[in-house]
Amino acid sequence: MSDPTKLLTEFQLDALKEIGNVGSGNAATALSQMVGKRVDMSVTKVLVLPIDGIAGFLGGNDRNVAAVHMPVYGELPCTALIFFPLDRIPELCSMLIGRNDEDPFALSELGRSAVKELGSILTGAYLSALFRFVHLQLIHGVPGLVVDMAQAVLDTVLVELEQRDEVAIVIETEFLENDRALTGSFFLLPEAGSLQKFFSAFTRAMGLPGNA
Amino acid sequence: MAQKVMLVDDASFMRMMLKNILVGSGYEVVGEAENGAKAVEQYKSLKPDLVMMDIIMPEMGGIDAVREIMKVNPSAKILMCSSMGQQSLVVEAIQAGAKDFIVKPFQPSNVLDAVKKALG
Amino acid sequence: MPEGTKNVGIAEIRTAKDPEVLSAHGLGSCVVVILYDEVRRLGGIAHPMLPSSRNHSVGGNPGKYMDTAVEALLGSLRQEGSEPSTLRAKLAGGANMFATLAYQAVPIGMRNAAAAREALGKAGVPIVAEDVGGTQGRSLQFTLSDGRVEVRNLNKPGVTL
Repeated sequence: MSDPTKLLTEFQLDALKEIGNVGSGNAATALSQMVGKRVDMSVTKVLVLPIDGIAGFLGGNDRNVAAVHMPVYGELPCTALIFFPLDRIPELCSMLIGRNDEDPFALSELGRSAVKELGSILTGAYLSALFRFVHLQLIHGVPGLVVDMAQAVLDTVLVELEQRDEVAIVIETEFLENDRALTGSFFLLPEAGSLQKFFSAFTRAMGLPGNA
Repeated sequence: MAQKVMLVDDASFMRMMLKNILVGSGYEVVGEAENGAKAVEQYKSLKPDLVMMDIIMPEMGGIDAVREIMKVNPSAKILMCSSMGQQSLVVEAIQAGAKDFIVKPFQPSNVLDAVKKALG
Repeated sequence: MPEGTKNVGIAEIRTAKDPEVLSAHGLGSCVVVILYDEVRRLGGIAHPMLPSSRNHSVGGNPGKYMDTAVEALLGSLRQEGSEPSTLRAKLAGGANMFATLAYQAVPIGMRNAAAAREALGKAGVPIVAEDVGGTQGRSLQFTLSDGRVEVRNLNKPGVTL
């Protein structure tokens, strides 16, 4: 397995951390507005993971998640994914739509819609942070929702992407509301060549010489 | 008489939130559509005073729907509902004829201000 | 999960024998091929991502593609004394989980399953059981003492093959 830290220069890693911070801040603000309560955040992890490192990152366990997925169009085509732990979904639905009886394994249409919309809005938050740094057009498309094991969702997305870039950008954010914590894991899976484009654009945007 | 609003968004959750905000302030929601194509159809029969239009939807997106509705009624009043990070699309929508935009997630006060302004 | 269970991750191939246990977690559209020799009580799992190595360079990893993975697994088992004629196959996985990510007319899960059947057919290994398709992810455990494959969905018990 390749060492993920060797994939990026220290400068690039710092840049990514900053994007993670800004994105998570935007996301927490958005979540706050959606649930009508103050939400703080801490960015727990920001990294670039090689595909074969994802199982290890997920802890090798079959975590059940509600996964919102959507294509990202524009100058950096990718697939965006946000995972929420499945056992927190009823609580989330309660805050979003006021229903206390949502079964995470059998969400109502409104419940599914709320989770998808939340995923879409949070993705927009992370992508707009990316845009601030790389100035590349990134438009996220129609979201879908899958309730399943995290590894199965990732496996399926990776296989669907076939020969595309074998790395993912991961931002894991812990959202804190009162004494409750919810971890959202954001994955950006770029197409072939996109990651290089991303860092070139970043270098240009920061007015830096040479390749990053 | 209450002003008539039509809501267009593929997320039933978003339509629900907007409806709550609008109805709570005395507007009448006369129709809901889940994509641009249905929106254009319903616009023709409902003739609402205002349309609140999402941008990214399956079948037909918001920008195309704005173009089609402007053909039906060049004075149509359309307010775009965009996500963070989709501002470039908003510009396109306004060039197509939309009056203004609000960003999700919605602050009730922002929504109501934008609606009042759009209805003029 | 019994201690000492070895997981077969994406693009991996592993062999094992009684009393070992192999697992494969989080199968989405991947189809795993499970081979068992009930006389020698040994077997293995191949967990490829894609149906065919045609048009791709295999590089160092035959485990990535169904055709090369099945061949490599059979090769490893042959070295332990199990010819294809003594092996029986079971298949699991190949779900179509994402309706909106359908880039191709035939979902990749089904293509993986078809590739598995083709590769095993060519090698003369009969498929005796399968839990393939559907829309849900799977995790499984393969017990080498008796060849049983226990499949789980969303961490709830599913079928036993």
